[in-house]
Amino acid sequence: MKIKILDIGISNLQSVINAFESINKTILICEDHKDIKNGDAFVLPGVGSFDFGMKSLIEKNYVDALNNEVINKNKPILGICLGMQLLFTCGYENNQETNGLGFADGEVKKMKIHDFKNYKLPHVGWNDVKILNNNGLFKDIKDGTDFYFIHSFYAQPVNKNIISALSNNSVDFMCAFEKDNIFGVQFHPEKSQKSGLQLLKNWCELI
Amino acid sequence: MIKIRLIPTLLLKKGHLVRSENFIKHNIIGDPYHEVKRFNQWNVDELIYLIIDENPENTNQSIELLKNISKSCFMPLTFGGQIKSMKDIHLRFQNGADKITLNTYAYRKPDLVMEASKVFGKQAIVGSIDYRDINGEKKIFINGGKTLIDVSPIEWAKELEKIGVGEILLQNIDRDGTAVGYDVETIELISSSLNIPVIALSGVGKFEHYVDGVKAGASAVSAANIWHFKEMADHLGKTVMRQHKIPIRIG
Repeated sequence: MKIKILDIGISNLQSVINAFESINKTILICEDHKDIKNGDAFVLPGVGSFDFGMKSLIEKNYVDALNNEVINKNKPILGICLGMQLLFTCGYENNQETNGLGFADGEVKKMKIHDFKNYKLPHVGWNDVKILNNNGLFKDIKDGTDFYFIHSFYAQPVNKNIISALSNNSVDFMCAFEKDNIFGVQFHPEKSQKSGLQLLKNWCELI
Repeated sequence: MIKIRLIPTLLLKKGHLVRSENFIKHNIIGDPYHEVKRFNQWNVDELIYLIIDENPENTNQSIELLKNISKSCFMPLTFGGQIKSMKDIHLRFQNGADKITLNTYAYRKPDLVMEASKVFGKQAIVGSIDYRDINGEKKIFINGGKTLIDVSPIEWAKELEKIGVGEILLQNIDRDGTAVGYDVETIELISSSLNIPVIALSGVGKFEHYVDGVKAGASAVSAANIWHFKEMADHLGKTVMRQHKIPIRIG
């Protein structure tokens, strides 16, 4: 199984690579769009804004290549943080509507906070997750485990059945989903110490 | 529920860890690799590294060091110090930073904050504010505490939020290294006026001071010296916070 990590230019790739190495999995940086077909599975990490992330995927000619491997050939993909958001239909960051990859149906919106005294935005820090599906990404992870989040936007899927965990920042939001070969987490498993590494290990076993 | 973060802040000068007092005195205290290993074993919530070198050559040396540190570090890292341009920011992210802090150049080039926040997302940009008391009024300082700016910390915090930082790191120079406790008045004023998280720093001399910071509204409490001079500083710090019913992450 050759896992390739996609570089969209604004991510902290190294920390994801380090995390995979620590669980004895090799992960290679995808060199260009032609190299995508050489991967058996993909990780799309990302910090940054939705529109810049998409712009970068388009400029690098990754969109069609990924569509071919993930949608036509059913190869697994794991989106992390912004990478997860980009898997959805569209996003609204920086006051504009931007089309995403569309591998899952849904929109990426700014979190609505009702009470700024107790909740802040960005949603930064360790927050517990409510696990709805403990067979996949969250196997052997206890309900209520804390993961590290850092974001202001969240993905709202059309099909709620794909949600594997929720978290809460004033309102509940989806923090992980699994839909056949498509996986996404809003938190950073590579920055979530032991539980994060366990989740990555689980993903490697699922694919 | 989001947890209150407890964050060690580590100061780097010429590739060494130093302790600081009022931003002037800096004593070497140890080897950063060793410290990070210790923090990793403790499983702390997050780490902030501030490079306080003035010489660019030393800055490069410190970045090289951070790159190596991040290899064995599965927790969020914030890098600050000597960041002047988008290129500098990019270099930090390439070398393992999850967030960067801007201080002097957020003031000198507010456009830099706006651009960085657009490209990297505001959650990756922390605005650091250094301030001290000048004749009974609080004023901000840039250049590592050397240059006085006739602006109050609350005014500047509001402006930073407006131009796009995702968090505020708040340091009171008068309290740096003095162990007298946080400036709760300013923490309270700023965190109640802003919608973004505030990280309180400077003044912690005992673990109970964290509780004061949280009660004043800080989303994260940070300290530097106490991590080096007290044994089991993570565990004991969190124990005190938990006794005061503060939601924390248990590693």
